[in-house]
Amino acid sequence: MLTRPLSRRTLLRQTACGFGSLGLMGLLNGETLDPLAPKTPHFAPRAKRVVFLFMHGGPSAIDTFDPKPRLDRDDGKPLPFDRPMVFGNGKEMGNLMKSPWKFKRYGQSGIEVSDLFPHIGSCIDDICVMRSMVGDSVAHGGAMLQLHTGSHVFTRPSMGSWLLYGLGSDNHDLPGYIGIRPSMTHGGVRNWSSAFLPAAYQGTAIGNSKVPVKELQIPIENLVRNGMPTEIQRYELDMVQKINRQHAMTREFDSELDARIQALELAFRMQAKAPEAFDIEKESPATKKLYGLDNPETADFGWQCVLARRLLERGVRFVECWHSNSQWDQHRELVRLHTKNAREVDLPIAGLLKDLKARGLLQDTLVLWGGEFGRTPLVQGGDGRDHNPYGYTMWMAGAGVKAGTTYGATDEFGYHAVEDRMHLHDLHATILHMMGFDHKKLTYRYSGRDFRLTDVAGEVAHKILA
Amino acid sequence: MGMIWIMFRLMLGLAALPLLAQPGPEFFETKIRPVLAANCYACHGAKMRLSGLDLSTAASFAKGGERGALVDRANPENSLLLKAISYLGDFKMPPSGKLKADQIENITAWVKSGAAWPGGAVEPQPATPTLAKYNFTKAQKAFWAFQPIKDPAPPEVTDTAWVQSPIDRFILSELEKKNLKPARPADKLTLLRRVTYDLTGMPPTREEIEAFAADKSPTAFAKVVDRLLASPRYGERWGRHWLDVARYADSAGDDDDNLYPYAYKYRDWVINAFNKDMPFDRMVRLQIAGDLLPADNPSEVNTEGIIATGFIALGQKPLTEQNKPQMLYDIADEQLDTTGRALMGLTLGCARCHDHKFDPIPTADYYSMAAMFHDTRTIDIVDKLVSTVLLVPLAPKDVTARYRQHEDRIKSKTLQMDAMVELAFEARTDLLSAQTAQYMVAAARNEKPAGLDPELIDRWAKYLKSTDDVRPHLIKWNEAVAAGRIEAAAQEYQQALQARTALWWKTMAEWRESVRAAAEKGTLPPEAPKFEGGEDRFFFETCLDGKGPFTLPDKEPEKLLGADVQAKVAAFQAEIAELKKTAPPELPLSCGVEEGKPEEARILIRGNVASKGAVVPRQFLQIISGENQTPIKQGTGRLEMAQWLTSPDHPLTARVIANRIWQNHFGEGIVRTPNNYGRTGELPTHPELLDFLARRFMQSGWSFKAMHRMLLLSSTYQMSSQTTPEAHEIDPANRMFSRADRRRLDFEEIRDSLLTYSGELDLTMGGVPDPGQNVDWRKAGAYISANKEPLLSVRRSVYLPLRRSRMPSLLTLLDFGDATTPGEGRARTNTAPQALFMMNSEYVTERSRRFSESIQEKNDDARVNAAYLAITGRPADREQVLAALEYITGFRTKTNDAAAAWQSFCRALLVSNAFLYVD
Repeated sequence: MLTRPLSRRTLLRQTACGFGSLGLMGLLNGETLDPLAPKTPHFAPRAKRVVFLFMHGGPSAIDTFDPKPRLDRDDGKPLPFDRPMVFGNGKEMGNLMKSPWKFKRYGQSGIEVSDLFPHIGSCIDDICVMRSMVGDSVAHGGAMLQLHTGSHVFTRPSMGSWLLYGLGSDNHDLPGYIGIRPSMTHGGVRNWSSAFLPAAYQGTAIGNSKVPVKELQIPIENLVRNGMPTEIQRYELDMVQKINRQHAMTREFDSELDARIQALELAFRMQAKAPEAFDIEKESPATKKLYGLDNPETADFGWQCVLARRLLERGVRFVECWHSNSQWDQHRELVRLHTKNAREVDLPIAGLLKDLKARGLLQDTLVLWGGEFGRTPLVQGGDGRDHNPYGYTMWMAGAGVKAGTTYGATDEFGYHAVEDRMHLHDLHATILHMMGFDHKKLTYRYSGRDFRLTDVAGEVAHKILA
Repeated sequence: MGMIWIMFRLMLGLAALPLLAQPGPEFFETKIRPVLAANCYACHGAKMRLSGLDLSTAASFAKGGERGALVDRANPENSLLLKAISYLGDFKMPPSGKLKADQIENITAWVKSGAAWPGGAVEPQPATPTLAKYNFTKAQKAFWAFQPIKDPAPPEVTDTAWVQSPIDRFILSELEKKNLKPARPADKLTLLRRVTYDLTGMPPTREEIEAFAADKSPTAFAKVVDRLLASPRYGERWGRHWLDVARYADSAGDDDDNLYPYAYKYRDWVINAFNKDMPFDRMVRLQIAGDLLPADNPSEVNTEGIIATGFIALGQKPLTEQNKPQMLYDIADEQLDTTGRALMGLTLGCARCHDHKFDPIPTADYYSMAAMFHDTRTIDIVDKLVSTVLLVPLAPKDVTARYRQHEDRIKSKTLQMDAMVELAFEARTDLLSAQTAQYMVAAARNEKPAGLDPELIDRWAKYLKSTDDVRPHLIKWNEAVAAGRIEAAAQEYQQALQARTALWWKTMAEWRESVRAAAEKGTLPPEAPKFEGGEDRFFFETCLDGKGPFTLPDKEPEKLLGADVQAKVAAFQAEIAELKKTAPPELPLSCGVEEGKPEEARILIRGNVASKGAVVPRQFLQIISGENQTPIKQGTGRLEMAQWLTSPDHPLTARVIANRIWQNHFGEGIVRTPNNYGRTGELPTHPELLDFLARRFMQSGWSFKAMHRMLLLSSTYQMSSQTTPEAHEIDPANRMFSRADRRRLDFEEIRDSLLTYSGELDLTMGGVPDPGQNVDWRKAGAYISANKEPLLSVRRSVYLPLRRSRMPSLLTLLDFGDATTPGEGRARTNTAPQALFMMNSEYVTERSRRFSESIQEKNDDARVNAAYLAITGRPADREQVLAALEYITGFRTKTNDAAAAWQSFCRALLVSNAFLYVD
């Protein structure tokens, strides 16, 4: 089913029907051709859906989840080994800089978390901290593309698109892959693009990082027809369909025309049902407080997290919450700006974890947290840190994850990953595994070659699986 | 925790020693592990384990790899690890280059001392493979796509009456073999709408419809074809097809999506080339090597040729990649892959890391050709955080030089002025900083003592006011305020500030001196150094940055520096203004390429720039040009590439473009994988026809317009899109072209049609990309979100800005593609979000409103008819008129709004398949 010899154009021509699937079934080579029909993966999945909390800019691992006592001791001393390539010419790079934050042990697991994330700390027993992440690009654009698509150079389908391609969607009124307030920089749309996969697997953006939350009341474009009562619109659509039927009468054997008649009906149903998913106001005061909607500092990312949960509940396969309006890219002023960023997300993320758990969703939802890389143990520009893709932290929680554990390690300085290295290809292989796929077999033929999310690499990190 | 701490402290003592007699854990952690991690783990880590080797744990190190143990305990000098890193034998590691001397020394010391692993060793794969001769198999040599283009005679057919054009014989002969009849001819109005959209991307006008309906002559259709081919709209439509193939966009798609500010000149060149029917072989030569070809007037710069090289220059580029040599190869790879797919239907990019898995393209051939692009310049300044794209002047060298000199003079003057202002700024800052403590105290106490500037006190108060932000440099101050020790603290801050300014002024004095010296010598002075804020945030924020209390305003800073400085600034500005007045005319620029310095062409092992392999000759694909070519010795080889591609003997170039032309008229190509003629592509459904077209195309002088005429004036093109049950049974996917293609309008056709109906379409051609509302497109992001551009501009869609990282959602929605790889023909999806756009968007609402208001006819019947004529290309039949009138009456009854009723009817027609599909 998943490796198909058909050319992309042929497939699209005959099958693609966007994020709806009703009535759009056709048969070719005996296959179901609705690209979004729910599909069975290679083996029983641990997770059915994913929420990715993406910290754009690159939060520092050694200031958050990967304490390095050695840095306290060697603060101000030179790095005792050759500095790997940094972003830029390295002229502003100084010596080692200890973390300005204290670390504390949390929960039964006693995993250390810095003072930047007390609320996430309180959830640490649900989390697997992966301290040995490795990527191949020191630039934001390359690193973000690789995190999202596996390649830091080429245009490739994003992981959300791959999951949608592999699993289909459980909801026909909403897109299967949604990015909430994504950034238009550092690759922009290419980070949620379906590339050569059919466009039905493209991520749908809700606003972008520059659009304030208050302007996102009807977050999906064209979902509502302003100023027209539903019954009048139905009347108009009936006329459209009348014209369509008359048009089709002299044009037999064309499933595409039929499909469009169905797509219009589907769109009509969607506009009735989808807005409900975005109606955050329906949440209880307690829930709003849990996500920090009552505090201007946390309200925006809180809104994104609540919305993510509502979308996941409704069967959306992959939701990405972008924390991107003020990026975690502290080449300068690490203390001031990491503090600000952490305050914006700490409570909402903890709220999301607690809420998912309370609703029984955490057991089959994979929560992924992290940026496109970490930051150097070396000071940059006097009070900042540069990019470090050689060893940094991401974490997972929820479905199938060994909770309350750490995985992998960086060297004493937090520069290179040295134990259980988790390259981004490995992360992708592991996520696909959790979703029920052998990453080597989830392939798509394009331009003469079988492509996969993990390119020619990737190993499943079995140690983090519960 | 405690134990670990004690261990660390013990280790510290050791670390201070330069070379350790007994390398311990500290030595391992600082000198060995990081080196292994940085240089070895990518291949020999827990994941990859190349050669069965994992260097990441003590146990796996001890185990070694396929070549055995890494460390020879009995004779450490003979350890495999040391042999490998010493680079002395055949077996060298890491393959990307020898480790540094001190790294090797350290590892050697560590191995000799027993290779203790606190709490555990590497093995290689064969280094640089030698360039073995690639043996093409018989099957590869016989593969259809590499055979010479034949000159087949059109086959005999039974139903000769059906034949209008030689191509009909090829189609009909296959149909007759299957006992299939071609679909009946399309009626005139269907044909008119089809050919008008096909050639211009726009709907036929009412006048055109009426004229064609009235023209009963046998040449009526041929006249229409001629008229459309002569229309400037033709170049905009067919130019856009080529721009798809050329993956054209106005930005590089890198981190900041840097603009190609003059890409539009390439776009305009393409449109113009189509309009004037430039021979395609010439188009190709200009696009690959136009900068190297003479201009029509040999004494002039080949402006057109340089612009045309935008084809090479305008791909996506990872400008922020910090491994710059790798970036240059990535760029060359993109250019070669694009050239391969676009012009030859070959996926050359697949041969970058290994011989092509399916096609007879050895890696050696890839690098033979990649060198031609690698040594061509498309980047101006490489060694910058963000490399800058090359802007090629469209002017002779001396004109360019004069212009640049003049620019430098202006810059030099400006820097001299800045240096003068800087000196005055320093004097002012010195006066003020001596009062820092007073200001801080006054601000803290909310007092306005004499001798201090009250406005500055306010600014200090604002600056010192506590916020939610954590500001480390003000922590001491805040503590002092809380403890009531502000005077002492203020003194400390003042002393620190004065010490810092004194230090910084030294740096600036050196700069001023170099400005003075440069001005004297007439060279370009250096830019002013920038203070790194993090070195002293208090100084930076209070004196240099933004709204700091002592900072000068950005605008007219001299006003705070006294009359003397103001007068000097005015004098400088007058000089600069004069220089600007006498400046030579602005240098016209383009986004194209230049010849660079050819380097030795070498294979990169696994595509890794650090792993240089065998030298390869600069030549072309051996499967096409043979195994005994004369390598190119002069220049990059780009000029030769241009000749090679357009040689009549090239088996692919003519086939590939003929197939694209066919595809754009008939919905599918004869080869249905238009960018892949390799083994994994599809075979041609009509191989002889493909060769016939390719031959005819070349014979006609590579003329698009001649090809259009041959294809359009055929019975094959003029068939109906309606099929019969029998034909549908035998040929469901229309692989035999037994009927015309029915297709959804593409993004441009939908948008341009809507603007036509609403009467808003502005047919101005060419020029800078148009985001609408007369906004400068280079700054559009600040005023207009990219998503709104297609909704605000009223120009044809081909003139919209195309920024790769900010593709407007409407383009994505309607299958425009992402402009990063050569187009294969637009996808035609059919989605609910597309339906929502047509049903709900304000955009369609507004266009339908304007359209409904524009159709003023003598009665309602005529009005319905006019709407049908515009949107569907044919008048409404009686049933349609009645249905429309009934609808409008019903709508009025419900809403009591006649205008809204007409608008809704027009919209219904626009939402319907009668508009969206062309038969």
